Amino acid sequence: MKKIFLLSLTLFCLFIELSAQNRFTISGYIKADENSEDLIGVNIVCIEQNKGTITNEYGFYSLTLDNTTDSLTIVYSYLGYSMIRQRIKGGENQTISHRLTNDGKQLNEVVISADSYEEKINNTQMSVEKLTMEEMKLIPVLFGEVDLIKTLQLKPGVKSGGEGSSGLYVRGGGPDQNLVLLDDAIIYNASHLFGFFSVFNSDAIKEVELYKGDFPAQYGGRLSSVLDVKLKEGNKNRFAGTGGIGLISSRLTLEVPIQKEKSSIILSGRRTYFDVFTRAFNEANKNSPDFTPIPDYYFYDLNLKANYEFSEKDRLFFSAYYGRDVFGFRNNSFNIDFNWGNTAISTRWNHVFSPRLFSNLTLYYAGYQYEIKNRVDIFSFRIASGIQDYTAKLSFDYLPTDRHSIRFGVDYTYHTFEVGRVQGGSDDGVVNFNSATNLFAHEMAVYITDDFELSERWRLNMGLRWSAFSNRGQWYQGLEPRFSARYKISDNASIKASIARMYQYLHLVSNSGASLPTDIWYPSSDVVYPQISDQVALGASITLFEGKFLLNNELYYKEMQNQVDLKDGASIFGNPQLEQEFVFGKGWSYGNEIYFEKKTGKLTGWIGYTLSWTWRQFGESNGNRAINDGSPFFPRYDRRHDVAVVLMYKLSERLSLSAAWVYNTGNAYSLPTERVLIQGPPGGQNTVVPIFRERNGFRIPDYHRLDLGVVWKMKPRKHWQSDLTFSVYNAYNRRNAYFVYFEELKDPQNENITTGFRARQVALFPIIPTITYNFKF
Amino acid sequence: MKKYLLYFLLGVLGLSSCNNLEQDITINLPNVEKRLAVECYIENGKLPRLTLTETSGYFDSPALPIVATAEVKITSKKGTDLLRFAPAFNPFTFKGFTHEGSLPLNINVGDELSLEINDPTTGRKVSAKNKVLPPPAISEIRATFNKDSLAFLFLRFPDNDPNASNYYHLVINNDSLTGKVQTDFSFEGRFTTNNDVTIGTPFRFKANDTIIVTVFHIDKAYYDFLETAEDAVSANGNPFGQPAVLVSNIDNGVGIFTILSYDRRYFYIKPSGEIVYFTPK
Repeated sequence: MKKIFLLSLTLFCLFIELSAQNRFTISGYIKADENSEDLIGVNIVCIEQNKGTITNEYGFYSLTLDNTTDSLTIVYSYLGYSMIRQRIKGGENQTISHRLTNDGKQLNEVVISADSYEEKINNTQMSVEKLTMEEMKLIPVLFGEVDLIKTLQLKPGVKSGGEGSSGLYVRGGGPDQNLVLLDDAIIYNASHLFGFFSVFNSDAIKEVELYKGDFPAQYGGRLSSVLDVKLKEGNKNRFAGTGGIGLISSRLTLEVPIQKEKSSIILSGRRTYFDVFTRAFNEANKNSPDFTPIPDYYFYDLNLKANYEFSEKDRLFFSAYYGRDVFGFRNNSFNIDFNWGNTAISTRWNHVFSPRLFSNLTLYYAGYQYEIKNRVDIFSFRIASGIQDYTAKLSFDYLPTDRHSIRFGVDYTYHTFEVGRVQGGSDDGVVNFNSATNLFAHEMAVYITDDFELSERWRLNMGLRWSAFSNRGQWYQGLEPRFSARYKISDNASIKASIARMYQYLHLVSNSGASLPTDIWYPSSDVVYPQISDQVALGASITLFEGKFLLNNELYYKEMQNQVDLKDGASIFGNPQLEQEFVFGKGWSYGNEIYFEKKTGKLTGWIGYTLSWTWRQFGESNGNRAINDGSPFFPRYDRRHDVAVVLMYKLSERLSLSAAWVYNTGNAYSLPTERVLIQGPPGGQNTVVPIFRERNGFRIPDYHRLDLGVVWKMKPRKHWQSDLTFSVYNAYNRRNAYFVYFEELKDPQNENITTGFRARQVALFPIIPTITYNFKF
Repeated sequence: MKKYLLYFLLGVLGLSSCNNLEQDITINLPNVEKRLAVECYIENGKLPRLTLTETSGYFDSPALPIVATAEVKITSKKGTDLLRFAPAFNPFTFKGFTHEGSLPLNINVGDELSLEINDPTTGRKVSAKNKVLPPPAISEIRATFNKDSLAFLFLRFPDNDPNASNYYHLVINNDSLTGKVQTDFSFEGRFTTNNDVTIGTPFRFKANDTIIVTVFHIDKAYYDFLETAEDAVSANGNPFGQPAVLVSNIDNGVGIFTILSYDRRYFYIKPSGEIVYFTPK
């Protein structure tokens, strides 16, 4: 079987090479003129031969054309930038790089995305959402904090975990089933403040892609989505900066050219200042007898990126991210320090071997850790857990003809896990224990994918990924086929279909309904099998009204095997035998996503609607009881209907308005149906214990909210531009239920007497107006 | 911890003063079959007492649904004791029971007791078994005062069997066994120093306060019951809590049937930090 595969591959490559004999290739990089940033997704088309391509994530393109003695017209176009038309002669391979300038005509309009509708119709890729900073900065958000994940939650098929949450729940997948990449390095916990803000500083981001299905073969390791975030490279032409002062945080980004047009460095930072206010509040109230101090809390993010162009063929990038949440609680009887965060450091080397062969080598370190520390007199106590990755990835883009775009590569990761570290000690040595499980694992993959234009109408993307994982001598491996096909009905309509299998070897252990920093990453082992998903999707895209609107519809069905949950009453804090707490099961989800978008003109925006079902089922397993008596149940984030309407209107050169309205079915929720009174051995501790029978058998009320925003650009000065961004979160002040609970009512005359019970709902955010000052120089 | 997070969130975001964020909501709960609920803590040398009720619909009347018609039997190797229906309630301790045995139970480590309850009016039957565990032995209690004249306690006791999983329940009361509970948690004795389990408390004890420390050696079934009951209570009103199904060792019912095995110390702390033990009257 292997021999046949290798022989076929060799013959295939030979065929491609032979067919390339009468052709020549143009290749190069396309950059933005104003800052020399690489432009991703620029269209390059040869008019006479009706052939085209786009730049890759490093701004590189390669277009192979039929050899001819006639001159040819090559058009370089990118939404929001001036088009370049160039006449070239056939013959030898040519390196042609360009710098595109901002199009003055476009500046009067809101320019939303780099991805043109033409590309959406032509591409085999489906189930992908792309965002640019322009889009994110216009949409009104909670506390004025621009947040890419909250913007993505407005797209069909992507759900939030609840009010204000920056968790991502994609097509029925959990928050741990998203592969989050920042300049190719994994971010294990992409949120701050227990999930209310994401770790991405909007000023440092260049582009965002979210794959909900039809995963390209270079991605693996998670079941449900890939969030690929690229950082800006930094202005290579001049010193520049951006920043903002907001209600809860401020941020500053500096871009410094090292060698003009060749290298630059960008440094970006963000910090919240809750702690400044809470400390002052605590100090003012410290003498009040019933006052409970508010804990100190802040978070910060630091991004650094440097790049250097050695030549037209070699470029080096260095990216680093460091972010921490810091929580401190102190009073006269108790003190605790709790911090958590991600670290990611990556180095990438691009090399152009030939006009048709581009390579990228990435080496990165990624880590996530949390630590809780407590010291009382001579005694100290520490709980910690974390994961660290050392990864090497090598990928090649091989573009042998205009019909084939081949990508192949190899990935290797060495994982180290610290699970349930508990340390206790005392200065006199009476206490001295240290318990943890340190695990080490190897994860590797090889992949190849070919985007193949079979004919004018048919285009296929055939990919295959082989992945493997080893932990303590236990090996798992699997083939992950990825296939998609596009049939172009006309120039403005196409239908697409895709199938993708994904393996996930790492599992997030969480005993909460939400993502918490204390959740633990755990590797597959002889007890815990890898999670596997299979997703099929069918879609249709059509542009309407002379290409001004896009209508997209996708149907999907996804099955997930070897899902992991915790048994009732599981203990995950400092538990070195964590595997004993697991229950295993399966999941499935299906739905339909409709997306209607307009992204040019004064009025832009989209309407998205998702109809979906998500299920989980956990039978008796691993020696533990079944969840929900083994019957299928909805996870919390299952929502039947999910609607988002986002509108942006550019009133004038200096004034933009925006509005976002969301509606969704209420989250599935567990409520107790019965209660029992427990007294305890001595009495005096009567407790009403709720009895939960069905997991998530209730729904909290439907959710809807309107957010409004105004961006007012101030009169620009020579080297200084600024704006004031007003936003109103929850403009009609709806009290959306965040959770529901049952309250025990007491006799006001005697607190020991219970008079009844009632249900209460709690909303988290009322109407919240915010103002943010942003600047750029 | 999770509740702290919620309060913290509300506090930090400055919204805790917005009291109209909470409102009544109508929830229609389904009618579910009521199950027998048992609570029985056997102690060596004492009359067995048991509380038999049934589960209530959440919005039902708060009156305790006592089951008077059931036949309750506890069997030890010395024979079967038919517990009589003799409901009693102590208004000072707020402890009540519904059934009482005829003789004190004299039991030894390793003895097994079984419980059988038959309610002929409804046909419901529940049963449970439990074994007597060896008690723990507190080897040290130490107190240290801070500058605010509050003391924290450090206590130490040997793990009962280093080769097995042992579970403990620590309760610290002020004044009496039904007095203010300062500490109440259960844990697995997996973190030891030279086979000693060590526990510290926050700074919360005053000089000359009467303090009662009780360390129970409990079995896995009681540990699971305590943990899942705590998780279930914590999940009601906590958006971060995952509701737990109450794990019980009562077959076909809910509750707990267990034999208490503990070491208990009564003491007060002198301002110097010295611990003075005493025997209660």
